[in-house]
Amino acid sequence: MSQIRKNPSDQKRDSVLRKDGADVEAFRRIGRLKISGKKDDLTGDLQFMAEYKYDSYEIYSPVKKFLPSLLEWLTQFKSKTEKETALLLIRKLLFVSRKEILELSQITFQSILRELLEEIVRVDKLSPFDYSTAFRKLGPFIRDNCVFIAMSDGAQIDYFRRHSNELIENDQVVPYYKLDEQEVRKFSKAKYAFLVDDMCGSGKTFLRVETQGNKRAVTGQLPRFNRIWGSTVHFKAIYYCPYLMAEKGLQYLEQKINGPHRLEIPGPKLPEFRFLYGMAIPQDYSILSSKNRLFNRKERLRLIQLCRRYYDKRVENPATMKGGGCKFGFGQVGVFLVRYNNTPNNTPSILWYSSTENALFKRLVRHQK
Amino acid sequence: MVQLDGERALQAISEAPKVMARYFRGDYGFKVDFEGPLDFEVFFQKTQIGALNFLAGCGFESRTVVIMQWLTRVTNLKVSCKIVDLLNRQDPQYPEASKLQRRNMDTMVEIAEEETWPFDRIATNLYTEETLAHQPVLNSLRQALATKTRSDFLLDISSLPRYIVLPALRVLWESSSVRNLLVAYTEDPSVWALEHQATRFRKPAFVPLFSSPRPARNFSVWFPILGRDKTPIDMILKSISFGDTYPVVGFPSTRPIETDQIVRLHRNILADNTENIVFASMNDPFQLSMRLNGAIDEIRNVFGEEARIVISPHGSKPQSVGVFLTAMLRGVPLVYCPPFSYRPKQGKIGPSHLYWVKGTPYGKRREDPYL
Repeated sequence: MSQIRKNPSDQKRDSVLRKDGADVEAFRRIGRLKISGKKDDLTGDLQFMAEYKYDSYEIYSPVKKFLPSLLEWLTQFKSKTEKETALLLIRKLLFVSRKEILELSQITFQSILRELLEEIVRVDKLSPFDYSTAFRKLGPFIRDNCVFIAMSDGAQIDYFRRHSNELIENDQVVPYYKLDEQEVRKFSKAKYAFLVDDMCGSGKTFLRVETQGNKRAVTGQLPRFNRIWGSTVHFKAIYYCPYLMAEKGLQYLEQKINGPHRLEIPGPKLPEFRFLYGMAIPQDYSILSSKNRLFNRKERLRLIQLCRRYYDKRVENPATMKGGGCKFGFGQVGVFLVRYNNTPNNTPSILWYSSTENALFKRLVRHQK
Repeated sequence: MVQLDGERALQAISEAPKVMARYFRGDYGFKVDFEGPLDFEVFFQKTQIGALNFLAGCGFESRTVVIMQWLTRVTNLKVSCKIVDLLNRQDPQYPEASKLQRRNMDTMVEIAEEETWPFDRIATNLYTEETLAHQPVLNSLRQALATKTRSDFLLDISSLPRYIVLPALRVLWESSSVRNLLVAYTEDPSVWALEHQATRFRKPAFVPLFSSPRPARNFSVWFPILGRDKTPIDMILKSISFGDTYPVVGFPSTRPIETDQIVRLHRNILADNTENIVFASMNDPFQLSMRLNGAIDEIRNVFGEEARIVISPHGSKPQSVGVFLTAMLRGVPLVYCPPFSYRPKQGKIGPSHLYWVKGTPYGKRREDPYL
């Protein structure tokens, strides 16, 4: 444990500068680029932020981390104003680090816990707000009634379980929802399913309608889950619990699952369906929203222009086209979000795709079809 | 070293009989977010609270009156108001602030008259050099609590400064006359959680009733809750040396960009401490308290009572409620730079939240020292 020194940042920065030659050189060159606006304001804390979180992007190689990638990315923009706009984007970037995702996993668990306390009060007909009694019953209630199911490996369900104050046991956790019938049968007495995932952007990976010729099919994770689990386990309620949830995705799913014009989900009739999440990404963070709170009107329009001008059609494949393409992100989410282990395709492609390999936060693609 | 404001008050409060029964203990907390007055009305009807003591500040912001207006919608609720008048002629911002504040005070008085609610206006010496404004508020509360009748309190912290909120909460938390203690907070969407209305700050001081009864030891640990203003944190750093620092950064937040804004702003203290950053919710005091309790327990498990722990509540208002809970549960002193003056901006009205810190949702337990 260290003593606090006056101006420790300078010392730290010096040691970082000595250590990381490529980063220093990249930062110097960024400083020499012709950029309109207040360059110092836009670049002043880049080194600090690189070290604090951006360098931890898991797709980076040890020799080319954030600052060299930024230099390369910036040079593609032709005008001074475009470079300024690109730097402005970085200043308002939502980069969710591994530490933050793990924090959200615990926050999501807390939301689940509150919901369960409320449910115990309801089910056991306790007096309103008698959470004290409900809390005493919580452990057995979870053991007898709940199953926690990961929808992807990003859910880090193991960490989720380990930080549940020993309320969730190993055999109540399913590392991936696609199980065979025999395995599903082990949970036949469960009444509450918690579908845990790291992120929900547009909501279309979870639930969407696909049209092929004259055929219209409701597909996605939820119909698949319902087909696999629905006929064996008769849940009283299903909770979708992403750690990060875009408001756009939440609105879409609410409408398609619980709204008056809800989709007919293949498989058995869905029980009560609710949403719990760790953090919401507000709709007004989208550059497509005229009420955007991150950028003023002029900045927002410049960003839209930048996304259009440097959009590379080669990013698209049949899978991305299901969500309307990636110019402003899959499902037109329009939020500049980067996750430590990959950039979601809901982020405008300017940040993660380039056919010349100079994407700032290169994305690893999972689905091509 | 820091000024020892509140030392005498601490002694006075420790002499008072302590009977605590049901309160948040760090395992679960009760909070509710209101979309509008209807939610608030439904919630209050469900609590079955019939008579309520309402304590709020009357400042210049529009959100000042929201909770009081909502209380009028709850049928059969008898409300007794204590309104802290937050104006002072010595404030350089007085001419501008007074126009806005007077309007709010008129509204509050009008509501009380129409509803025939008892209305106690508490004048404070806010912004003066010598004294802090908590004393008249605490006097008024103690007077009300002198009766043996048990009662329920709602404290609206939207416009109240922390050096009033924190000691007031302590008095109410420790009083056996208080059955339910609820805290309400209305956000200002023009600043969200990161309020920055304060313009100048006093020297670091213990928050009244949260001073340290023990002298400084060799090893001290500081948990600064970082907010929108860098000045108070820098002032504390210049005045006091700490053995180790665990900066607390608000995460998650209803405005996710705020976390990185805080990190960028405080990079001078974070550059050497990024591994020490403690994330704790910007909007959920219970989660923040659980996180701090865990960190403090870990430090004390290793170093015992030799480790002197200090928290500085300079983050969001809900975070300060969380700091209060930890200070009570773990006996931690609070060091804070009180503001001298505030920018008189009317602001906007955002969502309201309620944190139930003591009462019905929490049970009595055998290990309680005061039972």
